[in-house]
Amino acid sequence: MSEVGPPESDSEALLQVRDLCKYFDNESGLLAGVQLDDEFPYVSRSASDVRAVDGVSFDIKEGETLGLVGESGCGKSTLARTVLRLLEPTSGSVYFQGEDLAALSGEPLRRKRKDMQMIFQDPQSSLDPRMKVGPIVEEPMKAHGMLDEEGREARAKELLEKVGLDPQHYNRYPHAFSGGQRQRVNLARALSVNPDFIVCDEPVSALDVSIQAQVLNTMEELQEEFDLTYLFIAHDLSVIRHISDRVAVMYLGNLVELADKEELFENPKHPYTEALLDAIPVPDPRSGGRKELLSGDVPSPIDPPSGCRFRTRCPRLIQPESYDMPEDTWRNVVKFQRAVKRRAFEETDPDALRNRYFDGAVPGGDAGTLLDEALGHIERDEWDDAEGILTERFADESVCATTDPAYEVESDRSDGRHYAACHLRRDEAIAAAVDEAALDGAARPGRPEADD
Amino acid sequence: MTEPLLSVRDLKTQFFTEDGTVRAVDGISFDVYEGEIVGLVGESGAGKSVATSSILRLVDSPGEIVGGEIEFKGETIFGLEEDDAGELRPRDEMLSESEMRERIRGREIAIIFQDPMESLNPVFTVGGQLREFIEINRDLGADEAKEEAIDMLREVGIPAPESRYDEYPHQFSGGMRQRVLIAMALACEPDLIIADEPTTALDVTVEGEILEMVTELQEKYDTSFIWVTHDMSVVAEICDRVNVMYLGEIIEQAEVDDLFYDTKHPYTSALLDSMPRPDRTVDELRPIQGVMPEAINPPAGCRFHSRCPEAREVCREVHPELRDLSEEGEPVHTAACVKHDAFDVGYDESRSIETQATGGFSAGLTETGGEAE
Repeated sequence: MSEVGPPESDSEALLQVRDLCKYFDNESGLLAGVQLDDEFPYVSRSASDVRAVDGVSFDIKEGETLGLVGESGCGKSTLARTVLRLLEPTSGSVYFQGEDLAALSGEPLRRKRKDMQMIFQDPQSSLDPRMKVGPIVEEPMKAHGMLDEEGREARAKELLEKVGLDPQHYNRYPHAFSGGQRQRVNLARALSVNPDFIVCDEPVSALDVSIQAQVLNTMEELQEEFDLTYLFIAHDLSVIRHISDRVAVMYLGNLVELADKEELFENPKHPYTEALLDAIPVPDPRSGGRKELLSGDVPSPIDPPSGCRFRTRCPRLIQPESYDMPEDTWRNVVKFQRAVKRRAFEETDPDALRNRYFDGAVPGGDAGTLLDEALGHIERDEWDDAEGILTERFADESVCATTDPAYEVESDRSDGRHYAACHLRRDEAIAAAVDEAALDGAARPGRPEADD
Repeated sequence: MTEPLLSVRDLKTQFFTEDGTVRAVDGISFDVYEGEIVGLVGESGAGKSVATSSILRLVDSPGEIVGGEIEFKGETIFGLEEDDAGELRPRDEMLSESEMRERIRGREIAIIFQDPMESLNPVFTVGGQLREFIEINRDLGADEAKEEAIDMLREVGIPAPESRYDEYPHQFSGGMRQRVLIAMALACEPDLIIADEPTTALDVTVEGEILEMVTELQEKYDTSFIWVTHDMSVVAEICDRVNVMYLGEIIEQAEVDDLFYDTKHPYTSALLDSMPRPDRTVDELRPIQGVMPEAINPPAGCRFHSRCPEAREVCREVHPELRDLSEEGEPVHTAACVKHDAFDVGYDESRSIETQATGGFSAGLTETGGEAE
């Protein structure tokens, strides 16, 4: 209770997450990470952490829905669980109603849980098949000592009706319900202790479209009626666009962009968001297809790329300052570097490769020399050396690799803030900051969401 | 038009369970022509997967194909006739089980399933499984088959196929595994590939890549596809013609553009209305009320009438067949809804009825599951 949020945070925000990190041990057990060397001391231990959530900050205001999107494996669910303190954060803090959850433990934390609930993705496995629906809904109230037995039953029945079920179903088992109805039972259970904040982890992903719409509508009605605040996780951008007020986009443990819904969907500022929006199939045969597709796989969170984590797949990687190539040539260099890294071709003849990847416009100067060197390695079948040169001298020299991006740009379509972690936005961000006569706010790494 | 590659007529597949007969597929007819992608779309439980397994005659007990005809390239995959005693028995020209196994499945008609992890054997290398498949189905020697397998892996965009050849399925990402299955399906250059929700388990970015790749490969090999999905967005992107299924029946068939812009069946419109859109903000979703009834005891008349916002009394009595509603010179567009004049059963004079769609949500609650105790 003595703790307060960071000085510049929004005092009205219900939840403030600051620099939250959650690392997992990659290996566990007695001999975890032990390696044998052929030199003294012969045995070494290397700890390799999976950095599932790495320095995430955001606020959720009372009564709003914050949508969280990202591909599978980007850390969405880990973030949600860490926010609720279902997982112990590695570092950082979570202020809920002004109190740091990360510092709480034991009974005070348990009591706090009354105000925060969660709904899971799978409506089947999140309900105990051997309990009737009524007792399932009553259980959280029992755990928090709410009401007496009769009162709890009355409330459970009332809640079942509120979520669109028949109170008569109090004595039924979960198997007698369809997926959509089970998700409604989950909603009733979450609501039973009268929480302020509900984390919904892919609550409608397992449901058919028509049922999905019913459940989404019910969730919106309940939000209105009970003044709920949602953190809504989904991988489906259409659902996010429908239900959210603001949207955060996550990539490999980092937030890459956060803005009001309309702003984010209509005016995305991060290349990853753009790629994600471009990739969604639109239910309209005349929509005309997508522009470009992301290539490559998401890198491992054990050893994520430095700087901007998206840079290894980014279609708009910034050219290092030490080169002065035309934009097209630089794009070709990047394409070639990625192709070599993925071993995407078998051709070893330098001229053929020059033709294929550079179409005659081979860069001159230092870049040209380095490229020739790399092509020479490929000709001699020394792929690792070629990859080394291309990666170290081109990709890793980019500002995207050397500096962590964090910019706040001006919103086009709303009054809210627009955070975009991309160096392409530097000039815009500085301009926006000058506009606000707040020069110090141009780049605030690590404090993307510092609401004034 | 030319002869269809695959023609399904009045196909009926039923499951005989303790609770009664489940009419999972109840008289569907559709054609697949050479080089086109035909969509089969519907919610879960509509009978999409049973329909595709029936085409390959992969329906297991307690399920059975009980009627209809399936013709593929002039051969009869399934067909019944009456014998002297009036009993139904398979026709003589119907392909035998061993012919199906040796000639059709995999070689002529390949299938890609939703879950790539379950379709690959975790204890064999990816390359080994692909090689074995090619070896058996194309009568190639082991070395040739391996070469072919590596070529196929490269074809579907797997980087460094020589080294990935010896890796196990768990070392591949979900998208990669699905690519391997596509490679496997394409390896015997079949005429028809059945894709059963192949991108449902994948992320949007990966789904996008796979859809693009399939479109390219389809042009290159001129393979026909039956694309089973519940996702109208995927249909819009990839299909040429679409069949919409509801509760074991096809209720609308049209070219993809007509289906979205000149929707004829209330179910199809309801499905389109209930979807949140990625390209614009929808303030309020209009869900389809209620849930799909059980296929054991489907509603009389039009099967959708219990959830239909436009249902009238006549819908309860008349069971509509698919009818062509297109104008002269337009591509065929059939729908099974009596509200269209072509049916002429007195829809306009009939009174509206109280359905789940008109009577609120609670009306639908007793539909599912029955009594628990």
